[in-house]
Amino acid sequence: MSAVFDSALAELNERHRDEVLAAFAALEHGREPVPEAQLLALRDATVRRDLQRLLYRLGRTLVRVGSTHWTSGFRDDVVARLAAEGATAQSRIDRAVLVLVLVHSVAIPRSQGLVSGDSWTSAHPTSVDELTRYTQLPRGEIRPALQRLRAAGLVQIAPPRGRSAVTDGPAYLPGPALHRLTKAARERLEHELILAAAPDSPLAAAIRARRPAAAPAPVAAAADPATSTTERNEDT
Amino acid sequence: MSIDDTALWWARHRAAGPERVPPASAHPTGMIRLVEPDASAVWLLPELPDNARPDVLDELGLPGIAVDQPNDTARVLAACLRCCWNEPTGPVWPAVPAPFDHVIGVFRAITGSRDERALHAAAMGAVRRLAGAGWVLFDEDTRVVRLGPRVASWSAAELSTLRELWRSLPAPPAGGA
Amino acid sequence: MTAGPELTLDQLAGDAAVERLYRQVFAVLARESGAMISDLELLDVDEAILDAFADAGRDGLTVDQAVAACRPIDPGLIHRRFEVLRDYGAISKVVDRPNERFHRAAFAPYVMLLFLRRLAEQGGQAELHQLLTLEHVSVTAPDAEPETGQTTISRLTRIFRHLGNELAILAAGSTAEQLGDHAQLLWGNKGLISQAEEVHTVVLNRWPQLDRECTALRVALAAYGDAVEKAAGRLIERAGTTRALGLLSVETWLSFARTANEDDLAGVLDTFVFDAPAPWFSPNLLTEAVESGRGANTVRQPPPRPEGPAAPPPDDVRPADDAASLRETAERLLGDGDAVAVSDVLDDAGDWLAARRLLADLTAIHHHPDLAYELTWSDGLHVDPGGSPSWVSDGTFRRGRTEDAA
Repeated sequence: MSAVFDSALAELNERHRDEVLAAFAALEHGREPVPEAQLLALRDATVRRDLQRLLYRLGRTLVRVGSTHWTSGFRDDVVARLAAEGATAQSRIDRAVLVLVLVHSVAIPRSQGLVSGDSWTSAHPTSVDELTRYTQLPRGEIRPALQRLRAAGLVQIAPPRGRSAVTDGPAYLPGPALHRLTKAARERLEHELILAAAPDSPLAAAIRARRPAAAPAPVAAAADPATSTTERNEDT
Repeated sequence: MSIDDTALWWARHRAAGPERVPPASAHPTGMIRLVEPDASAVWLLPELPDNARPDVLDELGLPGIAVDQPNDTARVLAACLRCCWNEPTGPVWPAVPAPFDHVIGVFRAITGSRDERALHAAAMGAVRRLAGAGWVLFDEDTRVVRLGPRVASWSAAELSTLRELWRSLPAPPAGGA
Repeated sequence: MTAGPELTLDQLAGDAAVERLYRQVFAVLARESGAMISDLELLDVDEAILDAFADAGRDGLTVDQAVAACRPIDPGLIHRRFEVLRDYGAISKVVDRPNERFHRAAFAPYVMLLFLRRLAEQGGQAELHQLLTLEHVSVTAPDAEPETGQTTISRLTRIFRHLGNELAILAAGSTAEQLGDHAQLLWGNKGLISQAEEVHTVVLNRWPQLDRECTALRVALAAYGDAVEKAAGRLIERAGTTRALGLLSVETWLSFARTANEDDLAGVLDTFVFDAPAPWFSPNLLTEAVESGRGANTVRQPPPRPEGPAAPPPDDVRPADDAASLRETAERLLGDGDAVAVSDVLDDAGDWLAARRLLADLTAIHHHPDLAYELTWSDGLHVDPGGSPSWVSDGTFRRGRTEDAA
């Protein structure tokens, strides 16, 4: 079949091979993170390493969600390359709208102490008003952008809550695709958001000061896939 | 620099969808090359082993990527298949371009008499979603639809189901006339 | 700083007044006579009592009136706070006599309360700015003496030493949580420093002899700047991926969301990549969607007659008038007879493609308002208003359609 898959899984017996492929399909094609208990290749650390090796070959990596679920995401070094190339399906307006949803649904609840942890998903809805009425974005482009973001799983419509949904139109939440951010990407996103929202703050200065030292790390690690593919990305 | 070419090509597909490249450029490992009818370019599409394809999700009882208006979107894709796949005995790629109005015609026939504006809006929304995911190629200016590179990810078995579906669908209304 | 060792009577009286004010002011922080409060809710109770006095007018309030005005706060609690406030002189009898029941409230405790709340909520930034503004006013006043400049400079030096010390100590040995709780101290520091520098410049230009004092202020400002940097660095380091976002205020986030342009917002994600939309459409899903579309058609739609009076057919999707060609088809199929089995017609069509097209034609003929032909199915269901089309049943195509032929 596929040379990539064959070479990545060459050493596995047939059963483990099937387990790895099923887990690969579940993580890569599935909408939500998959419970560890459901698949052997997630449950069993040895088989999971094989799964990680396969994902790594394809520019992907395992991402742990909470303590019991897994999904897959881009390798951090690959992200850097693709971002530099501009290989992306989301337009600028799409990204701008996504950032607004992240500010309202994640950053603000965190400032209020309502949410802990480092997830970029959230149960705090962003109202359409907040996106259309109170921003500098061209109003007519926001709804199409939301549709495209929905198609990519980057935002989702918040479950209606009582009357508010009827009166204010739909509200949005960050979508399940945000689970696919690696731990490093999640932290980087926090920093980018702080840099953009408060560029003159000492916090931003501190982030910038830490940058040069932090940047080369993933590249260096990526240079040695043999040691870095497996355990490194099994973040908690 | 240190990143393996295969990893990059697969990741690019993941990030940007099926990629259209000059014919002589890349031949990444494990990817299908879909040549444009005029050979001006090729599309790159990952080739997945049988038990790593999206249909595995059904077996595992896991939800796939959510689609807005899933039924209408699927119907419009079926209508596009009916209009563009002129030789259903042959391969599904590249098929032929078809006027979007033909697609709407088939869509109307399989969804019944809705309000025309609602019907057009539904078809337009669906074809844009499909185009956004590479299932069809849609030129909004000329209103011409083609099948997108992602159709090449249907397996042989799946294609035979689709042939059956194709035969059950009414012909494009203006196509026969 | 002006008082010598021997205090005059005036000064003593003045000190007594200051002490009285201090006692009043700190009454709101007293848990009970002689101890600091430990429960911030008591501040709410104090505020409620003082509010009641403000609303009561010049007659003042009795304890019971205060309790009534402060409902639903527990009366016992009001009584206790009332006593504490009275002990500190924040509340006193309207007339100082044993049986007096009416009390009045001093205004200073209330001001202090507001000040404390602001300080607690905003970290005292605004107060510092106001203080710096006042210092600036005082050193630029035409009649200001060198002593004014000296007092101002040493006051600022102390303030910034305090700030810097607090941050340096925090940065050296506290948890991310502690640092985060003091994060307000870090914000707006540039504004504070530059405001202080302006005052410094005024003083140094006006009274060059204060060079030594000014140097001390510069040192204090630099130390404060360093402490800010260090604390911020530590904060980011300690905050890790779980607390960094919470270090900015809600206002900062809101103002970013509401004032940033598309590029500023989108720029946040410049170095990120997400999956492209990749929904999967299995053939079964397509088939089911198509089937359910047909079913839904007659279940919830009005009669499938596109050319009915309510909805004239749009010209761009249907040939202007296909009645003639449809009639031709119908006549060709029926020949001399009045009816023909659909299965026969389809069999004659040859391949499935042609059969399918023919079936579509039959359906179209049936629905055409100007054509008197009828398509019925062997199970007796008609493809018309009340019917449900069945694409698997055998059917009959015949002339005449009672309701539409008329």
